Amino acid sequence: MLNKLEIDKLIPKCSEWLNGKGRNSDIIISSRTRLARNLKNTPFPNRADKRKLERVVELVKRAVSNSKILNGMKFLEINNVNELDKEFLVERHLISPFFAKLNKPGAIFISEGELSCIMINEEDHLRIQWIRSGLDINTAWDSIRVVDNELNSMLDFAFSDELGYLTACPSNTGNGLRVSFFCHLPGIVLTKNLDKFLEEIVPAGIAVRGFYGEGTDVQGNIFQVSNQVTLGITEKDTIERIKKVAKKFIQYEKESRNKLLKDAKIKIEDKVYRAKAIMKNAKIISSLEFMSLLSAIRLGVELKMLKKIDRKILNELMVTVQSAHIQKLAGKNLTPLERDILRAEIVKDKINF
Amino acid sequence: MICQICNKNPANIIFTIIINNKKKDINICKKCAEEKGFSNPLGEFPSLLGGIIFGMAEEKIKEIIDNEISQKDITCKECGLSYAEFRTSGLLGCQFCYEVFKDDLKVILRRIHGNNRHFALKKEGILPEEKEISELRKELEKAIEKEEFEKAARIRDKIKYIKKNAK
Repeated sequence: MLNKLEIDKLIPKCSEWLNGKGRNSDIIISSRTRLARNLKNTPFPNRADKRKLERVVELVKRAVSNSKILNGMKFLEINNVNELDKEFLVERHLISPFFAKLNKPGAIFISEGELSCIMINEEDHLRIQWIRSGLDINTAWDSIRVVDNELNSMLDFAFSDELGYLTACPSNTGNGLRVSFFCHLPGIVLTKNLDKFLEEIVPAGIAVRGFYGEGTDVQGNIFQVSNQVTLGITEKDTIERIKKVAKKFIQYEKESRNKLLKDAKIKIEDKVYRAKAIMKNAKIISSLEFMSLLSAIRLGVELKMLKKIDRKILNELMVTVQSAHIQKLAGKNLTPLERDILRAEIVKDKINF
Repeated sequence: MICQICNKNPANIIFTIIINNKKKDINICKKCAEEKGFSNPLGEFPSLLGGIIFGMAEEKIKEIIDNEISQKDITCKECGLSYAEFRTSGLLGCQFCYEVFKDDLKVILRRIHGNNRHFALKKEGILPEEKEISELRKELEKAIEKEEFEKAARIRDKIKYIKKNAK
């Protein structure tokens, strides 16, 4: 018997992948793996009727509850979730913005600590993800393989010898694996080297995006980097490629920060102290402004211009001061202005300058 | 005949491409041909759809190709997805669509992945050692969290040992 996920119980805690631990967590916030899988002989979610979608949910639910490894996951049917709660789940990276907009039978399974999550009936029948704090693609991959293998032993996935796993979108066909990491790149941005960097350093087949994935803007100098090729490449090679890219990002970002310290220290200090002054005193902070202030504070801490602030606190704020989180915390819907006021209060409360 | 890329100059070069075993001629002018690097017929010229981007030329040629294929009338009998729907949404409707739209998929998959054959793990699943390592990693983390460093060291060694023997 699976336990039901109670969204309100998630509020006081934060996802473990935000804990700021793990290698290179000064630059790499988190590492993620994601697999796309579909059940055999069942239309993909975009062509399946309500009954078939419900059946997919039922089949996966049965598999998860019969699995010793997976049955600790909490389950939630997504159609019963209200808009605010859906937004809340998006902000925590548990579901995609696309999934939140669908109004069809679907579900999610979430593990303890929110490190792993399975979306049912998003673009594919199953979207499995694992997130780890810092640069830890290996563990994210090892862990997701265990989940995949377990499900594979109980469910029959659509698979062809020629093309591998068959997915709704041809961009996932093959191994269905997307490996990505979030990184904070203020150095590269401030040295105005981003375009050059992206052009010269990022190899073909690697995509760079904003914080909430496809089609979202870059906020607070945080970027999401992922592979695009899933066909004709082994999972191992994909992982090695992304790890290589991550190392380049780290190196380049470190060099950029050193360059800033050498050439423009006072300008950076000015930026950092201004951000601190605003965070300490402002009464109204919009979400976008917060992300940009946070980037400066984070840089200030890493460059030792500010006293140490736990990375966990800074990471968690990225999620907990988002619109739906603030409203869940307040326990009611708030106007944009009310949110900005509450955001300023939370920030002051959490960061001890 | 006016150049199909710039729509200005008279076309004096016929550029032939083959899509799904069908020949298609594109008429272009000398200027566009030179600019887009089509001028040397003997020069090495990889398949346009093989992921090579030629800016405007590629857009234009894509449009021409899209026109060509939009006249196709195929529908997947299993899920009812029509060819036009597939081209609009970019999504397939079911596993059988892969067979129905095979010809186009070959091109699309090549364009996205630079490849159209899979080389992933077969469904044989993972080795028991890997499962064990994954379990041990979890234990290791718990031990570190509880600051039981001796235990953590033991687990770490065990992981090393399993990895070494698995090779």
